[in-house]
Amino acid sequence: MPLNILRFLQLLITVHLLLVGTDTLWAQSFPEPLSPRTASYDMDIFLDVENKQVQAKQTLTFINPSADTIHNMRFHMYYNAWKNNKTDFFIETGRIPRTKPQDEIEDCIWSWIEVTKVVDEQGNNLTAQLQYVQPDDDNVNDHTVLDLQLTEPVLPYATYRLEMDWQSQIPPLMIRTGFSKDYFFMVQWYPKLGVYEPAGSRFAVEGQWNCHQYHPSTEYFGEFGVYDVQLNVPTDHVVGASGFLVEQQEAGDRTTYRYLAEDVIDFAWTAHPGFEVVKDKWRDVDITLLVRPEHRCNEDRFLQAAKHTLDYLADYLEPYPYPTLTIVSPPFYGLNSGAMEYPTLVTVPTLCNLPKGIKTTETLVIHELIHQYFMQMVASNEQEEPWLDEGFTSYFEAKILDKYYPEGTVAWPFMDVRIGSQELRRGRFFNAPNIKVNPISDYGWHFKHGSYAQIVYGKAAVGLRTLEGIVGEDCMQKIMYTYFQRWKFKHPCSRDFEEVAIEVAGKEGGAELGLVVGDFLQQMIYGTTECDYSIHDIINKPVTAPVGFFENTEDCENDTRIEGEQQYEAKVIVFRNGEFATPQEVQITFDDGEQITEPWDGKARSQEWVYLGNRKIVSAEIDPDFKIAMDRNVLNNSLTQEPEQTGIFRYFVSVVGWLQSIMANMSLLA
Amino acid sequence: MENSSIVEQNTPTIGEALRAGLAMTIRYWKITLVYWLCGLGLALVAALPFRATLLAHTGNTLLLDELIPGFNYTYLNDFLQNYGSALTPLLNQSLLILLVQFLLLVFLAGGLTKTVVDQPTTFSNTLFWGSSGAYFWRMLRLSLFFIVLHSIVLGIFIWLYLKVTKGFSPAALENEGIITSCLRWLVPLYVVFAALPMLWHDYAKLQLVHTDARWIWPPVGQAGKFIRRHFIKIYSLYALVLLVGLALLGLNYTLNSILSIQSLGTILLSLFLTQLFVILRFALKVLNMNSVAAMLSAQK
Repeated sequence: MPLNILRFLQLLITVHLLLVGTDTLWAQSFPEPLSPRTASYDMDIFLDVENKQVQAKQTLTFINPSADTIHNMRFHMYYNAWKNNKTDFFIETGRIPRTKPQDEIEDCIWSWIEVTKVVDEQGNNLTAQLQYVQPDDDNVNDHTVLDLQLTEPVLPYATYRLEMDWQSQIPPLMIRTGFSKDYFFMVQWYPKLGVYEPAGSRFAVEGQWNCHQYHPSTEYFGEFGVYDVQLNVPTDHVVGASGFLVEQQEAGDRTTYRYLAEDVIDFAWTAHPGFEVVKDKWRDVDITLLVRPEHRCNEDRFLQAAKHTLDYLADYLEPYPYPTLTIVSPPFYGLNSGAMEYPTLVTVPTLCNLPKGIKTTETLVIHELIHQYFMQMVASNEQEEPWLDEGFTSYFEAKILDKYYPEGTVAWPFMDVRIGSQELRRGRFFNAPNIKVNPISDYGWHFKHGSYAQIVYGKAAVGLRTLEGIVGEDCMQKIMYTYFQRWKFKHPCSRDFEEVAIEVAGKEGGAELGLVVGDFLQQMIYGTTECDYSIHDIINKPVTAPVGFFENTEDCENDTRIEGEQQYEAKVIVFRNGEFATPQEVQITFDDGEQITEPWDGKARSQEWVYLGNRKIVSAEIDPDFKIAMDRNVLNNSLTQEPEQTGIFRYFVSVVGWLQSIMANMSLLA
Repeated sequence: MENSSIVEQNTPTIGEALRAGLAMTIRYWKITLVYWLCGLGLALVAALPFRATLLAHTGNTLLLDELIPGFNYTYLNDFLQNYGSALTPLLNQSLLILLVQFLLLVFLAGGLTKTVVDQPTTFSNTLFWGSSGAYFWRMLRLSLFFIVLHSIVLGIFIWLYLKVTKGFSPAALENEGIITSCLRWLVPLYVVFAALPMLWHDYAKLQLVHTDARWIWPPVGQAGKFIRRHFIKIYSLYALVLLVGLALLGLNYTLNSILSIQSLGTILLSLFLTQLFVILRFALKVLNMNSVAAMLSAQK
């Protein structure tokens, strides 16, 4: 029923648009829904740029995805995070920059969002049944979750419609959303329905609303739907939004833009008179870059990085299905809105005065576009399991950057500086203040003592890279492909990924590999241990003739000569220093040039390999192909009998030169 | 003191001063050698423990081969993560060594200045080392005064930069272009102004040695007066030397950047180039003092 109604509405609008002769993009509408379209919104928005306010009317169409009878609804009211300084956002903010300047406090500049009227399909006015609740704590000053008790419950699998009037005071741009001067970036800006999780879905043991308060370190979780949004803004403002433009009507000094975004979990938009519009295309996808004139120097870098990402993911997972992609490059004074992902719209700050060797623009474009797959299509819960989107995204980000930008994400000709994305991500993880402080499976706001980004992004990405090393690149692609296909337009959890990985690894490499993968993922996702293996020693012990007493104490063997070539008992000893155990390969090189690779399950605390013969071991190396990126110290992964000093001499020469240069400069002052 | 100060006559042209300075730099080549050897010796004192630390912790790792081309992020990151604490005392020691080097440069300044003022026919060990000791404390006071002066100039320019860039505040700036675009005029302007205390310092050293003044203020004042009277010529001479110095720095950096180091041979070539440029930079310092002295000596 609800789908039929939606299609009928679409048909009506299409006919209307054809009659009035406006530019219509309805042809781009999906013939069949990609997602369940559980929560759809029809909105009329008026942006008051003078008072920095939004007045809105909103119709919400909710389809009960369960056999439960639902008696209430929960909404995210994110703008209330900046309503006072005792919200969870401010209490947990910690070191996030620009929390609240003194002048804003003195001028009482706070933001809020309030529902002024809500009416159900039967005409019942439910406004009095609205109440702020705090599902995560008992902080009554936090009004970021609104509960609505329904007069008429939502019956199993039924469609339910609500009419809402609401208004909001837009926050000064602090983090992700708000205004700065004439730039508006509107995300998490409307009463957004939580996700209803039926029993058995993710971690739900019974039907429940998953609607957490706004915690500053975490992002979002949303339900799939269709957004039909009319934005009334000043005509001189250039607008960009999720989805595609259906209609644009100018009336005096204001223009109404109508956007349609289908099968998305959220809707974001921006308005700013300073934007210039750059158009491009990837296959059938219209790419729009909204960019200030001073940032057009990087125009090609934005577009090239976007196309590389879309190419890569099209081959690896499946082609980007949406008809549009909008990249917003904010002005410098809107920098705090930058580097975020929303359905079909991403925001990527850029600076033209950064050296070309620093690939920040490309990194951010690639990272945010990957999120179109992991968090938008595979809509995991960014609040409860942020690693499922940030970790996956960081894993793919490194692969794409290293493929298309082999010169490195940071490159400088002096000293031949080249830092690849993969090694940079690994380094950033291990540079965390404490890599053991929380497991990656933890809720985002449980990372109270730092290291959130290093663990959620870094450990997850490094862990996935290690998983790729264990199962091989082809198998890893099959794991990712299967996971994506099975869970796109749904809400998976960590367990779902584990099941896919074990299943695919088992199919590809046998049951034993499946067990290895299961064991690895348990440690990686739920554990906090660290991985470190080392070559402890290489011993080449000459084999001696048997001398002394053997069968009795009368006949003494004392001839130490050995016939033929000198024989050796050549031995390598390896340690597992960390608690984290992974399968390993140990490559042993002999003085005749031969190399042997020994597989090892990596579980014992120490292991040795002994070879009898006329040759000595000259070096040994654990993980020679650097498959186990989680190993925190690669310097102890190898050992040579003869130290190789040329590399160190290189650094020594450089240090001498730098010091002399400083001394020569100092002579100007003496 | 007026009688013993420099009596001004016709000043030589910049070319004449430079030529005379070059001739004296060649004549006193041992001074350049002394500067270079002192710097090299102290750099080795700092760098040898650094090398020993790298060898002790990672001398037997196969990853060392990957250090030869230069920077290796994984090596450096893992070294700092796992053995980084071993570098802390070395860094502290390096700072101490730089302080020692500064004092040594102040010490040598007395010998250099006395040699260029007296202009013996050949380099005199007795004159050089004896004067280094004799003028040390006065040269130190002079250097500290000019460091304070230089810090004030630097402080003013930092303040100016922060003012122009509004403290880098995204909320206050219309766009970020000004953060780097203003450097195009601010840095050259800084160099123009920073050159003043440096050249004043050089002339004050010469005045101090020439008059054998007990206190630093009279030479500072006399040098200041002299510079004011012949500002264009003196400043042009100094600017020329400064430009040559900057050109040497740029050339050194460029050669180091394009030199692809893949073997011990190229490492040694890089070492040779570095030493060559260090020697040239010290020689330029000596040349500067000699040309300044040449300009002054023509007016005695």
